[in-house]
Amino acid sequence: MLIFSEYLGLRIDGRRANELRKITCKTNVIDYTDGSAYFEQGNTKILVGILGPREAKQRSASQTTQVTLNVEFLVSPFSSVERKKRSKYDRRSVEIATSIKQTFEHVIIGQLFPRSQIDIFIHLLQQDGGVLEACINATCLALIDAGIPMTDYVCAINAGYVDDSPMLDLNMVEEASFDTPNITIAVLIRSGKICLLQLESTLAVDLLAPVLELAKTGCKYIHSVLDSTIKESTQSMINSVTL
Amino acid sequence: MELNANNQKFVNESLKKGFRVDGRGIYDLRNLKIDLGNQYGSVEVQLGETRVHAKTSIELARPLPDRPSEGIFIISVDFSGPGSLQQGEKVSGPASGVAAGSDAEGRAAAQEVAISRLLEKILKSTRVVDVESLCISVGEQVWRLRVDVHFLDYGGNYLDAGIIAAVSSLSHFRRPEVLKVGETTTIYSVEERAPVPLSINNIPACLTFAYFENELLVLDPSYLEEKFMSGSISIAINSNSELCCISKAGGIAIEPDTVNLCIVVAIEKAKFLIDAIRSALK
Repeated sequence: MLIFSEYLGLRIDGRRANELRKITCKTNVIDYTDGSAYFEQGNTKILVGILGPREAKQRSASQTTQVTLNVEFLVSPFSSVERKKRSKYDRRSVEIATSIKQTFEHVIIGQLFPRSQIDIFIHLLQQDGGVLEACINATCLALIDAGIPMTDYVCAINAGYVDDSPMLDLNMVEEASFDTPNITIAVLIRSGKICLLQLESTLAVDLLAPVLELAKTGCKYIHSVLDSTIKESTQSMINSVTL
Repeated sequence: MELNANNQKFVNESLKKGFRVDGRGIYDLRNLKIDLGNQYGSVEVQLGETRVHAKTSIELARPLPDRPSEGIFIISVDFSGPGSLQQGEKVSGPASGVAAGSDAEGRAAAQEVAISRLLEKILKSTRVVDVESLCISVGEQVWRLRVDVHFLDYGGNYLDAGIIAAVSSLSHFRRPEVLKVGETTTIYSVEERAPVPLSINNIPACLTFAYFENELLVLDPSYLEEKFMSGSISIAINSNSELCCISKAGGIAIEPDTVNLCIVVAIEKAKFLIDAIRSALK
């Protein structure tokens, strides 16, 4: 039903099964942060700003052995069809913020900044499916832009089944259909290990492996996009400081 | 046992030798006890030292405007009181009490949200209850079904115990019978006619694995193991041996093979849990 054309095998927005939506990203977009990134995947748009590492504001929150991460996830009231303001204490927002915090806690080399904190502010400007994956990718870019040492790139993607065939990068229409199994996965690119894995709705056990395999190739593609963005921005920075 | 570096080392070292602090095998569940209450839908579950009470109730309501032919299903989770996740994290002494409280509170709140969201996801998004059967007349009147999950004692692994409690409570519950003749609907009280069970599509069971350094896995982590683990992964399996939900939010990254191993173990153990729930309800 969601497949646009049986004959061509195209999806509702004209993509093929293993095709991602267009990714546009840019780092260093806000002047008064230590690192920032703008990430756009299809119509999902996200802005991330990083403050820190800096002295922990609350001494009680600081840890003596490693850095404390503070993640705030804000959904703009104009981000979806429903014009509703969601507070940052909304349970879904807290859930996403916690997932991102726990994902990056073990990727950032936190032992280098004991008693400090890093604030990550994520603004969801527009949502069209794959919010969590886009947030992770955007945060990864912004952290690199802020020069925070990490062990690896974290790249995330969502995937699922539409009409019994595995699909990459579901948009909101595909996500919303009830029977679509939806998997969000974040992997460390070099080691291929899984940082985050979320599956919603039912899926037969033997169908998990093919969709994970597909998702991994998707993550590799996202890594190439993120990496070239970082290299470009670094190059332009080098060019601007030549004496 | 206190939460300190020595104990953490002890837990980790013994795991490396294949022992758990409480003497279980690495894929053993703790003792499960399902107590059915006197009322329909009141169930108390004890998984090791973790205690959860669940109560199902029902009332008449107007359907939601966007779903006129579906009943309303609400899950409410309560962590207050002795079941709070902060217990044990509060450092004694008047000076550090406030300071330690704030961060522990923040962390506990996030963990509580994560657990209640997962409970909701597993019960709702996998269609445990057939909400369409809760409709009395389209657009006019439906049943509003509510499950209250109260966490009483925290001994680790709230999620698995919570799912068992909620599912047993839903299966144990009986609602008043409704008879519709033409335009008139009659709702018979429990005294008039024997109440009817809810239509339950499938019974899910959730299994949580904790992992430690070197990807050592244990099933059903206890309080101590949960405090010292490097991360956890929860897998929900339904009675048809299908995956309902997987949740691994952060923690140390693990190999894809470890995930597969968890799934294989979870399927086996889910059968056992679902059988336990069914036999308790008989």
